[in-house]
Amino acid sequence: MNGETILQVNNLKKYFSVGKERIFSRKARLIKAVNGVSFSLFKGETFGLVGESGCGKSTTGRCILRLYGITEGEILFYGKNIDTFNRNEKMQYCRDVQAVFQDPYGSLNPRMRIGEFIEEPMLVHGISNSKKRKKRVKELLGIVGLSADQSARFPHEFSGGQRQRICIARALSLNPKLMILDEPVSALDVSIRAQILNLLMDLQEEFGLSYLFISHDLSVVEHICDTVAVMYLGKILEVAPCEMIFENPLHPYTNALLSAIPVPDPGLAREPIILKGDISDPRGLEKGCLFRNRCFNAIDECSEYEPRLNEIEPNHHVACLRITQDRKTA
Amino acid sequence: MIGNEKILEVRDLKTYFFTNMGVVRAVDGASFLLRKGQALGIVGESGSGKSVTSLSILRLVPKPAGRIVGGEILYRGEDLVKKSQKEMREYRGKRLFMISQDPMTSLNPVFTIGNQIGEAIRRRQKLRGNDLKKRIIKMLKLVHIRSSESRINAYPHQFSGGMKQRVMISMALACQPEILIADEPTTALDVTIQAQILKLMKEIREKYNTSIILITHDLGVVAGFCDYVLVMYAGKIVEQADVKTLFHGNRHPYTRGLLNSLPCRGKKQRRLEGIKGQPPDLLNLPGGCPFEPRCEYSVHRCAYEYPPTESVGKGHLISCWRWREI
Repeated sequence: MNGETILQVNNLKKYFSVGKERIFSRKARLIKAVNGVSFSLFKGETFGLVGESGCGKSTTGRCILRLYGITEGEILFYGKNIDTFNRNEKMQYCRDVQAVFQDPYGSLNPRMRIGEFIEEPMLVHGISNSKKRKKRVKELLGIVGLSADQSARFPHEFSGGQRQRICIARALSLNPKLMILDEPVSALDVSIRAQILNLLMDLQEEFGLSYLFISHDLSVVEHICDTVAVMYLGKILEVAPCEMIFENPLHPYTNALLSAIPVPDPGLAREPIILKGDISDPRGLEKGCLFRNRCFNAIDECSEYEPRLNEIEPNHHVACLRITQDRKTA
Repeated sequence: MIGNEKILEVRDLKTYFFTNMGVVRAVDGASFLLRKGQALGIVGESGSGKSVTSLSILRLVPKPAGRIVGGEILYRGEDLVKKSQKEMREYRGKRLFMISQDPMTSLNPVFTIGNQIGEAIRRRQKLRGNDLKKRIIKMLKLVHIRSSESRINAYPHQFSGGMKQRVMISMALACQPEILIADEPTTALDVTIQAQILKLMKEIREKYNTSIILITHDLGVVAGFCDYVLVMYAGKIVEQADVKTLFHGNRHPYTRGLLNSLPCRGKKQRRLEGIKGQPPDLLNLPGGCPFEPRCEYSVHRCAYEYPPTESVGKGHLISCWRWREI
């Protein structure tokens, strides 16, 4: 890690309009999927975005991939706003930022041989000639742990773990600098998951890749990430280096999340902090803290003031009124 | 409270699927015991036969491809395999209740929640009108659904995943079954909701002394919930033991591999050990032990002969030629 910022996200907002506020009303109903997210990702680092379903972690990833236009805010890649890119820069950005998605069954074209599938990005970007590309495909298959003679097979001949390897090979084909990994191991079995995580870590070491790792599985995140951001309803509640988050979580939501992970050891079973209700409809929670209706630590002020991310310890940012207050009085 | 009373005994169960590509031995000779009040966990990866085992107990194996070709499922001494579908209806719901992974598919989208819970209640008791309504509201309150008076007229799509799973549990409560089979009940849910659902299931177990079969691929859930665990691989039970022995005194290479595949909290290791190789193709299983191609302890014999199930300690059974050396 040499501290060079590869990606910086400033106050990113992405709203989706779903229908109308009321029938005949002009105001569109907005879902604030991502609501003011800021973070920076350094070269060679793995940045984890965790949270429950509907917290906006995947939407953030998709905004960075330019799959969604953003509502507000900016995304800087090597210091340059990706919205101001010209055509060439956009193509280069596509090469530099690649993605691996959750469902290895959905992301492979069933009618394409996997060799063609891995070659396709190079074809789109007009890289080298056919012969060299074929050679590169074989090389890539080797890198991800498949054998080169499998390139003429079709996706249905592969298991879930192998398919995920194929997706990783395709993502690597353009020598990316940043990979957006959107729940890359969630659909896989435990024994296969370990293989893919090992592969991802080896690749990072070998090619100096940076990862944005999006996951709901905290034990995987702890294993692979350097920095972790915990998201809830479109906002980041806590960001810190991985060890800090797991050893000294400050935000009540992080605490509840961590306590809810089942520990694979019957001797260590703890009583989890049970949160009230579901990850809720954010409507009616405009003012104040979004987590307050499920929080076991909430006070009246939580519905008045919106907490901001404060640096409580070096590198440890938390958005919680109570924590900030406690630190001030202490 | 785990009694000594045997509720369910499965002996050498074999459920095969006869497909165009060949015979899939989804469950191939599974034997186990469920006692009153016990929480039995079945773990395994996809395709290991854990779900088919539970479907076999309920006699709901998808037809016509699937068939129970051998073995016995003794519920209080009565063999469920020999029952007709009509007779089975008396068992399903009343004595055996199943909660499936996806609560959306187990609730009927065109009936209200109240209606569906009412149906479950009426299987046990003849209640009508206001009495029934009061009972439904009580059931919803038991599973901690707020403002249940208005919720009974809601449709399943108006409920979140966790709430739907709670509705399923409230139906189980209404039926008061002796055995609750939960097939990956929390896999589709977030961790905080998972914690809620597991707590609720624990409450039921303590209150009604229900025996629970929990099917899952998450060893963490098993460690926190179950007393006794079966580990399945390619249709066979490779190891079974009480939960402490399984996690700390396991002897089967597959169990060990599974546990090593998990990232451990608090211990930051660079690489996960995992299990090499690919999951087995159920259509072309090797002749001997199905785990042999991926096993680091395998010897010549493993490829040809399936090891017998041997008793290692009290309630600890294992199928491996080399367990003594592991």
